[in-house]
Amino acid sequence: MDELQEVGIQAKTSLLYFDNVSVHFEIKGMDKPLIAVDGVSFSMNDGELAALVGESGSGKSTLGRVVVGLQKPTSGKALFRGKDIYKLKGKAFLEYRRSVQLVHQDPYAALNPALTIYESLAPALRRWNIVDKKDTRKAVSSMLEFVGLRPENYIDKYPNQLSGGERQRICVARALSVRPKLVVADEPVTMIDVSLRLSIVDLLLNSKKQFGTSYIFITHDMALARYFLLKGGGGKLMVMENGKLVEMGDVEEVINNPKHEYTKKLIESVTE
Amino acid sequence: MNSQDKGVEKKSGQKSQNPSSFTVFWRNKYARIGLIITVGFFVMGFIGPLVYPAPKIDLTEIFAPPSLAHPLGTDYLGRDTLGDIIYGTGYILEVTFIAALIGTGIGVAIGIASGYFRGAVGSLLMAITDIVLTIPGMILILVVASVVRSGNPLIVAGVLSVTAWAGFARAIRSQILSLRSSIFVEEARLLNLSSFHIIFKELMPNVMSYTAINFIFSVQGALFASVGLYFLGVLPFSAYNWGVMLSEATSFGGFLAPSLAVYLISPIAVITLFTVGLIYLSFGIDEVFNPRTRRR
Ligand SMILES: Nc1ncnc2c1ncn2[C@@H]1O[C@H](COP(=O)(O)OP(=O)(O)OP(=O)(O)O)[C@@H](O)[C@H]1O
Ligand SMILES: [Mg+2]
Repeated sequence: MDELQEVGIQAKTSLLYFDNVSVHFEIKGMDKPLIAVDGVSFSMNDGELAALVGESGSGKSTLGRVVVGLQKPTSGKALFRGKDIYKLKGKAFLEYRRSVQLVHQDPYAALNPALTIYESLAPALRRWNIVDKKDTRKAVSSMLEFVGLRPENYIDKYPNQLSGGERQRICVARALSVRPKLVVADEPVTMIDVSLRLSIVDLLLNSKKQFGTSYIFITHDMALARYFLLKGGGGKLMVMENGKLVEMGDVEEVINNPKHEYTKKLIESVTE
Repeated sequence: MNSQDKGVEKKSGQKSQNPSSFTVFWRNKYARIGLIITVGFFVMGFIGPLVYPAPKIDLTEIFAPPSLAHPLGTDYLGRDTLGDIIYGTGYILEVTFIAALIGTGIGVAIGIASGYFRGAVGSLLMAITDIVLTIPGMILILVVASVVRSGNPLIVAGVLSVTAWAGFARAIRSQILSLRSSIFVEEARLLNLSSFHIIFKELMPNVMSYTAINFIFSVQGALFASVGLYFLGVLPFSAYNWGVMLSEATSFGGFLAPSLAVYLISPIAVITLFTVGLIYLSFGIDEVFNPRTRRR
């Protein structure tokens, strides 16, 4: 209860509210910890889109892992619907666990090689009682259809029989299968053939349109971040450098009028 | 969906049905031969005694050469050698397969548990495994077998697996340790799937191929060990036993007398054939259980 009063109205109503979040990694043989995320504050509302841009090693993935519950911050507040993500219990934890999902950068590692696509997708549907047992196969089929894969061609395949793009579609289907409120997509197309990238980004945006899914889209590619936000009807552009959020604002404003040197550099490097 | 998606579809637009496990297995020539040999031994062991007459002592036919009545000749009591082998097969199959089942079962259970459950449980299991690993297995088996002195297949199998599981448990544990921190297990946790699901549905299938192959090699190990124990006379003498046959054939000078050659070679040949069958069998197993190497 004090938590709610303490951080005020925005924290309570936001889907996600980060206040001064830092992540330090103790590295063996070094006296100072590595500061991967450094005092980051931002918030996300239901249905909102955000793109997180920054160079390799700037801390994007680490911040994303804090959001999805995989990396406890060293300090700061990471709240989901007003409650500390890392202190959630019982029903509140389950609601969070279902509401926040991840699409991983590496679709080759994200699917269990020993399981067919059906076996990878069905358990979550059963776990969350999303469909009746007898309808599971039908539900998996329609998930595959949603991500643009013809079910009969994929449902009984093993991941090693699919391309990277196909696998990533399956991963998107799995993340969306539990009807999350927020998906962190961590460089979801980096490892995918260039010609297929935009179609996967469009797929994410489709789910935002259809289900109101909120996204934190992580990329090192400013052009892709802009495409994602503009095509998705606008959103928040966040620029990260050395663990800090150096710039944050509406995408068009930031692109037209970048304040920080680093942002300017990133925008300039996108020559059209 | 846009045009790029159609491209995705076309690429994998072939029939989606995966070949059944058996088809995949059968396609491998060695696996096929291995399976036929192994099944052949089971038929010989469990159906053979029903159709082939039990070898009888016949002092008029001592060390008879191969003939129609005795395809592999007879032994020092005039008993039919082929009959000895057929009637000894069931026992060998029981001992070796039960020993492999016990050793592999304990190994996989302890390996998975100690790899998955970190903390007290995992450390305790690993400490036990390490202690067992330091015990010289063959010596312990010799000691235990000579104390127990029982030919009961369950007991012999138990004796043979006293230490056999430990090395395997350690190997499974290290695989589980790397699998449990893999990204697909992380994804399963994000979806709040249970530990039960993660252990049995996500981790187990990934160590199945290795487990099955370990099982086959455990059968082979138990074969050599049990034959050896009988050969050395550590386990009590019994009728219809390949190891006893081997021991008798050598003690009667099978290496020297050409008339005894068939008597000596017969148990060696079946032991070799049994081993070859197992090794060939293992070739097909990797293809069945390992989807990474599965052909499209
Ligand atoms: N578990 C960890 N232990 C120690 N250091 C870590 C760990 N995870 C990340 N780091 C370090 O934290 C920093 C930020 O890493 P992070 O993966 O968040 O960057 P990123 O922006 O996602 O980079 P990339 O674009 O390469 O994915 C890096 O210096 C990285 O080496
Ligand atoms: Mg990253």
